[in-house]
Amino acid sequence: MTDHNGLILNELSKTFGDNQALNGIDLDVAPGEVVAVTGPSGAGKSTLCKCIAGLERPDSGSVFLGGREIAGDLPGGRGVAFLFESYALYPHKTVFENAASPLRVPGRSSSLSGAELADRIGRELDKLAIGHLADRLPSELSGGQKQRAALARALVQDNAAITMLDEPISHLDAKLRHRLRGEIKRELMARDAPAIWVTPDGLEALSVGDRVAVLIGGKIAQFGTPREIWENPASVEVARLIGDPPMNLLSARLQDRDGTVTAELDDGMHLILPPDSVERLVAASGKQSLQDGAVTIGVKPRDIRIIRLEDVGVMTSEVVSLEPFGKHSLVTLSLGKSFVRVKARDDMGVRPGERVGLRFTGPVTFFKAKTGSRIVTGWEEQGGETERRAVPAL
Amino acid sequence: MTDVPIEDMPNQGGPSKAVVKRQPSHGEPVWYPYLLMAPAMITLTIVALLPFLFAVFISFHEMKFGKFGDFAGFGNYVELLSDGRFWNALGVAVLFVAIAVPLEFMLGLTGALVLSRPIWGRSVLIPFLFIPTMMAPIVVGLLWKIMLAGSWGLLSYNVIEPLGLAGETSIFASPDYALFALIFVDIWQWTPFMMLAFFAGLQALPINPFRAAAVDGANPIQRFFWLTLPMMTPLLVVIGLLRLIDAFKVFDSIFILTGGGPGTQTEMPSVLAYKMTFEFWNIGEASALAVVVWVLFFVFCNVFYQVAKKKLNAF
Repeated sequence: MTDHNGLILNELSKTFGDNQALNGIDLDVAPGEVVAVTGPSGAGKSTLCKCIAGLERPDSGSVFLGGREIAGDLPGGRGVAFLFESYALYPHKTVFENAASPLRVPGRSSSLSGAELADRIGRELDKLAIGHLADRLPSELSGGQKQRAALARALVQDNAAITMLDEPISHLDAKLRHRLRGEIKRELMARDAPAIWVTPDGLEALSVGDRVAVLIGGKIAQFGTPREIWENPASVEVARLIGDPPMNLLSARLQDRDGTVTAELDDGMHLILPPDSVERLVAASGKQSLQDGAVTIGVKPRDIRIIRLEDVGVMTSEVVSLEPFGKHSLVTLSLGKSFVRVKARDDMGVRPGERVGLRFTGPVTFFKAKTGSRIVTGWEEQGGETERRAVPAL
Repeated sequence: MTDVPIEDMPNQGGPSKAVVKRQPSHGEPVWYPYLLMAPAMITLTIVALLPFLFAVFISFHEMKFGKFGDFAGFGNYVELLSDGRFWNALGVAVLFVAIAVPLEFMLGLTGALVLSRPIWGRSVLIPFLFIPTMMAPIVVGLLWKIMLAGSWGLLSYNVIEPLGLAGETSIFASPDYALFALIFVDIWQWTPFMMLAFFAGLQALPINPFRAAAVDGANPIQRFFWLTLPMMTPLLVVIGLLRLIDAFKVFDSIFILTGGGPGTQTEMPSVLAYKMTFEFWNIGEASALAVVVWVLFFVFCNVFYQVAKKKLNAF
């Protein structure tokens, strides 16, 4: 049981009709911490925020904020700074008035004088590059500008008990998104209050979150540091969300042939698993034999290398497409019935239709085929990179 | 203008003021839109524009029992404006509108706010609210004539007379209360309409700004004045203006209930115009009255429109 003055959710559940939007959510955000909540659309991210803000009443579970249970408080009494995914700007108020509105609510801790308030709002608008739009109405703004106006309204509340940003930068152009991601993160970290940053983009979650909660189907599928989630995704679903492109997932069947364990992919190709991987697999799965174990193998696109076919003992595949991005190329290959995406520093000038070999150069994660939950991340053995390759045999 | 992202480019005008130029037609002839508008335009010309122009024409002539006499110049107008009955009628109408419409407006808005809460029985209540609006004004007049009939009317017998509210006679014969009885009937008939119109407007408001205001700590009264009222302004203005014009022209219920009496206590311009035409057969002056009322409304509506547009951001 976590014990701090930030946000603590215990067994939070919420149902809309037949739809279990939130199912036993346990989550905590320490003061000054930014927790990124990510997940596919419909996973319950926005519902989670609304339950914390008091706009939805959870069916069960408790919400603690600042060391106090707030489930019974009205939304206005919770001190929440909330950026709505839909912006929720006041349509008849200018950008400036929108941003200033939470500071002007009587009874709020607004010790700012008129000039101080104007200065505070002005700084925030300038930071978000919409200072020149202060006198515009929301109907006169583009989508990205509206989003920044709403963002300003949430961020000017320096004394908020919690800041929740529901997809704060999703409608901005890439350049601005990259800049603001860091600036907003710094601003949130400087506060002595917890912050929640919701995003459907797994990579954005990893980059902004001190910790990341992956929400799938109303449940926390994984809650941990970005590194934990990047290196050890808890399930196939989590793996599918993280990374651009996400982890390659191949279904395979383990075969134990006199102590040599192989993972058979479709089309008869198989990987020979190094002995230590086998040991780990056995230990993690709790079974004596790996015979006929159905698994899903996960390999990150950057952990696969394309090699020339002259090298012996490699998996062969056909190049389907090539997307050169400059610092790396994204190569899509067909492997049996599945497709594998490779993030290659050197695409060696391959062309669609060409047959190439491929070699795994980094950790491979094994998931149970049935439940999708992770068994073990293996393949990390002694030695340098050259030793870390599995040598799949044909 | 070098490194400003495209979306930050100063937006000249903004979407609300953007002029949509008609695209070159997709192979359709130039007269096609006019063809589509023609039925409405022809109908309006026959039933509205031509009679109106004819009334203007009449108002400049001496009329004797429906026959054209000499051209009278502004004679009819001079006669009208020096007629105390005309000014009385205008005064009655202004009083009627000034009391009835604000009350209908406020009662309607209050009722709409109550209706927009999840109160019990709302779905049953709403169809009932349509009843007064759906009734023909003449039927409403008859209904209240019976309800308020002197000595035997349901309301007269049970409420007004026991409490001694309107003296000995029928309320419609009371010089002090007849106009208020008419105002009451108008409120009875039109408040539900206002309520439903405002209710529909409230239902159409986006919910998220209200959520944002709730999170930011605004109380219900602040939310009403900060959000509901400004966001409803265009609708409030339009409905209010329509009701204003309509109330000024009320005829049926007055005709049935008081006939403009006692004396000229409840004689509004519409009733006066009727009497001038069909009782005094002074068609020239009646036409002048119609034209004057039209000019008053034309000026009033234009001023109202300009003010509402500038001050309230309506339209």
